[in-house]
Amino acid sequence: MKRKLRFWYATALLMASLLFLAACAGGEEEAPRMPTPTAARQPTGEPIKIGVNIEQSGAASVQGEAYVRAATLWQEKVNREGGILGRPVELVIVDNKSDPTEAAVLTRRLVQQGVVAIVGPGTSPTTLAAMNAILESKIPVFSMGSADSIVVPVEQRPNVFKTPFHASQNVEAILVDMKRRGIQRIGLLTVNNPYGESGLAAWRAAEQRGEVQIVAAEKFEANATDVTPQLTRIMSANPQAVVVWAIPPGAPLARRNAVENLRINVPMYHDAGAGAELFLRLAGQSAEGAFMIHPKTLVWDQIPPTDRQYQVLQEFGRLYTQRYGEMSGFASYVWDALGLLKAAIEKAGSTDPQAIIRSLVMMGEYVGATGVVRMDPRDHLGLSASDLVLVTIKNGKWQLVR
Amino acid sequence: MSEFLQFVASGIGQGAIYGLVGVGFVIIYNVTGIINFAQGHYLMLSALTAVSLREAGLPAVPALLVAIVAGALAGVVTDRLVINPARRHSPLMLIILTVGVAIALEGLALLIWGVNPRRYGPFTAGPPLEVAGAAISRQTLWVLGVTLAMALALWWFFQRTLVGKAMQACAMNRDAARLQAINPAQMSLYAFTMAAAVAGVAGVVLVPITSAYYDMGVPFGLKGFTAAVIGGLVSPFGALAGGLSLGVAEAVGVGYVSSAMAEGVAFTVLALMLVLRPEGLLARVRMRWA
Amino acid sequence: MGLNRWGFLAFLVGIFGLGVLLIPVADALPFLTRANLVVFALHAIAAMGLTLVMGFAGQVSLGHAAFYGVGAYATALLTAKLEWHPLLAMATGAVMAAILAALLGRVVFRLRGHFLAMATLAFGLVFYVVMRGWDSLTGGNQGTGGIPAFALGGLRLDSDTSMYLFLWGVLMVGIVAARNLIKSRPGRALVAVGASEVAAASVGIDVARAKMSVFALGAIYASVAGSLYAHYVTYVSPDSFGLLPSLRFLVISTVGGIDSVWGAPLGSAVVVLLTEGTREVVPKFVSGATGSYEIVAYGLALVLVLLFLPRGLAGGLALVVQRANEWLRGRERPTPAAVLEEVELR
Repeated sequence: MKRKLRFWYATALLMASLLFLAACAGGEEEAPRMPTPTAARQPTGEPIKIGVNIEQSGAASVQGEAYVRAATLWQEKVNREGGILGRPVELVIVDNKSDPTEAAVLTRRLVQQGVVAIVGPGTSPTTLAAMNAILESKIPVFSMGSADSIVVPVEQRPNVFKTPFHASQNVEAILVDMKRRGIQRIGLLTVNNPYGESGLAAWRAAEQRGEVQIVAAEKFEANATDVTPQLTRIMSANPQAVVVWAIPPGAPLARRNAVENLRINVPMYHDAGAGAELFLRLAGQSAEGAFMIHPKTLVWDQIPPTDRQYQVLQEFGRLYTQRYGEMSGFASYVWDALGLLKAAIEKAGSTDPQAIIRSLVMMGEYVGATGVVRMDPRDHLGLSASDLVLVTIKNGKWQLVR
Repeated sequence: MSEFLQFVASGIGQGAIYGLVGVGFVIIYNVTGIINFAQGHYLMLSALTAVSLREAGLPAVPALLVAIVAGALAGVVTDRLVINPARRHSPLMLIILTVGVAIALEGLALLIWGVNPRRYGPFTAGPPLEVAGAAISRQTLWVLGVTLAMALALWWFFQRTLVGKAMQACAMNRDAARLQAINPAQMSLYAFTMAAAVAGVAGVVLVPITSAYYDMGVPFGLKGFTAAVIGGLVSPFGALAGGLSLGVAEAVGVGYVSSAMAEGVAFTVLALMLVLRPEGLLARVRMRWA
Repeated sequence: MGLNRWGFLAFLVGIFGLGVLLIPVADALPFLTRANLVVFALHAIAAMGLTLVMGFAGQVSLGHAAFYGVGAYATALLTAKLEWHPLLAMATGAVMAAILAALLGRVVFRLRGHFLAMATLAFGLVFYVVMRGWDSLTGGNQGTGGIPAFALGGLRLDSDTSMYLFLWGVLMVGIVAARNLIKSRPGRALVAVGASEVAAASVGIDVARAKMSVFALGAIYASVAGSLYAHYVTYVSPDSFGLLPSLRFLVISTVGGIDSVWGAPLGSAVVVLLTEGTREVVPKFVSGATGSYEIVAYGLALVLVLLFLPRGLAGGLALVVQRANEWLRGRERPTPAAVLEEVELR
């Protein structure tokens, strides 16, 4: 019996190591090293530490992966180009596992490790749970959460900033297109998690203002495998358009169910969370013709040179797609947060957290990949809905509508 | 009416998957007396393996078969490395051990496949079939067909083969079975292998409908367990029927009650079933193993 | 552990000293902060409730985080919205959790073994769904915030250090209470129930009542920890009280050892070290490593401990202490088989 057991453990060990090797091989394949262009000037001295507190596993890990990719890419670029103030940048990337408690603990830990600023947490619940630790730290913190309450009221959030558009701005931009098409009555399908909830709240607010009429609002679970019943309910209310507020795999699933099972023929709008490359991959053929409101990053190669963001988008788009083979809808939020921090540190000429915060709110304009950021002491987001574009999918590619 | 039919059609497709996962719970529980918390994780492993093999360019049939075998292997490993060495532990410890297995499998999947959901296309392409105004996708038909085939295969196995009869004997009375020279440890191995394989079949037919991702094990495990409990945890066919009724109840619940609480439907059913009728809805029918 | 009352008290003082000593240790270790100590103590208190339920009444609960959630939400809603005194809110939460547990126990303790476990699992999931769905009360998925720091008279727990010391004190009270319970008459009845329900019933113990009360007591531990959690984080959302947190409490209790009052603190410490240790060590070997390694380590630790140390780490330690004692006293060393037998008999 004992010998048998030993045999099985040996087998398991062998299998585990094989799997491990496979995993390592997979990892290498994913990140081919880019040839390093001649370094501008080797950064020297004490590295500037910036914390990156991200949901690399757990419920919000789909965004988390893109965030970490963007952060890694940014660190390499900046250090190649001479660092910040001539000093190298060191990102301390930690995984909070989408767990609110862990996000709070990690914020304190990063502060203790002497970071000058933190990027993350990346969702609303993790950010709000970490808020106490963030406020006590008094260092600049950028969140990628969607809830407005992360930076509002600004008096109580002196050192908190965020980079993704508010849900209300996404709604505003979709409404512009709906008005153009004469759409008044909509059906709303939101994922039953904090992300969907913030979208639902923003649409309810728009309805209150009389800008739209929500004839049906349904929810679905983030791990749902079929949302046909919800869509059936929505369609029976006869809406002129359907809005889906979800991240992958929910958003592409909804699209597929709508197109393949119900052959819905009204326009379907998705928000920026629907997930770029994952949306295409998971929705397949059915993705054709879906509308998505998004920062210009998805169509970075179609933006005319006259656009203010042209330069930034070219650089970000090229670097990101060369490294990872495809664009991500989420990556630019971290890219911009880090870029803003760099600009602020350079403007302040020091890494003193208070000086960084001062120069962030006094910066005037910063042209980022997500949009043109104009932060001021009253606005710790600084984006305007006019920087969002409407895109659609043609022949498996993102197309700029306007 | 066509709306109601649509809910039922959606529910049956989902329910068949729940039922297949539930079958595994029933087999393991009857043969070994253990509720295996990692049941949904075999489905996840097979689904992700199938996606990887398809992406690597393997043709559909071998890819799916290999993926099912991979899931079954995970069952073998669970039994040999964890359950068998611990068979003298209390039931409490055994439950917690399977929880440990589930956590480890999920972590392993995250290590290998990462976080992003993946998918491959349906087995046969084409528009959905219209039945009285309700749309049924072709993959749903595959799911139903495969479920039916599995039900027949299980019936044949338990009724017509010696091993199947030995497992039944084990389920009825383990000590008596031992007296008949049936080795319970071996039966336990067979039970875990079969349960994992059936879950694996569910996994590979499910991917085209939704997608495969590392943390899909827990939700499917819970729904599968609910299906098994509705069927009284005594018969694989009870579990299949339980799965179908759970799927339909969920879809109809979404349609006519509230979509925000849809997930609550399944768990409330589970709680009520356990408390009010732990012997299952179908106990009176006494289907037992066939 | 074979100590008398005074010995236990002295031991307790020593342990309290150890708790204070952990602060400089956490400061010195690069991968620990005082916030880790707070989380360690919170989880230890909550898991101790589960230890009582599992170890002393032989019942498993896969929905323990729900009671943690009851305390957290009671504190969140009563102190932030109605501005109740934190202590009053905490007590209200504890009473609610106890009532809920007693009601649940009344229904589910007719079930045995696996069915009971799964019924508690279902209860935990339903609680989670309700917390997410009942927007008007709980804030739904977005959670609810604005919870003030815990304040009692002049004592205000607004730093990690003060919070941790207070929690460590609560933990000590919890340990003493649990130990006294075990030594008391109803406690002995409980242990008897855990050992054999039939035997306990045959000597006139009201088994159902005994189980219900230990379930309620376990819920109170979890609820108090939940209340303090809410004060510490100042914001609660459903994700902190779902299935995964329930499983975490289960891991803490079982890895620590369910038949010792020291099991929960030990298990909680191990989980914190495992979490932070893998976070620190693994990326040095594998670039781009994430929490997945930790998840694997979690699962494997659980399986290995249960396979090789079915009485958990506390049980393993007790065995070591016993061996050392015997060695010091120069007694004839018993054969390993005899020791094992003795252990299993307990």
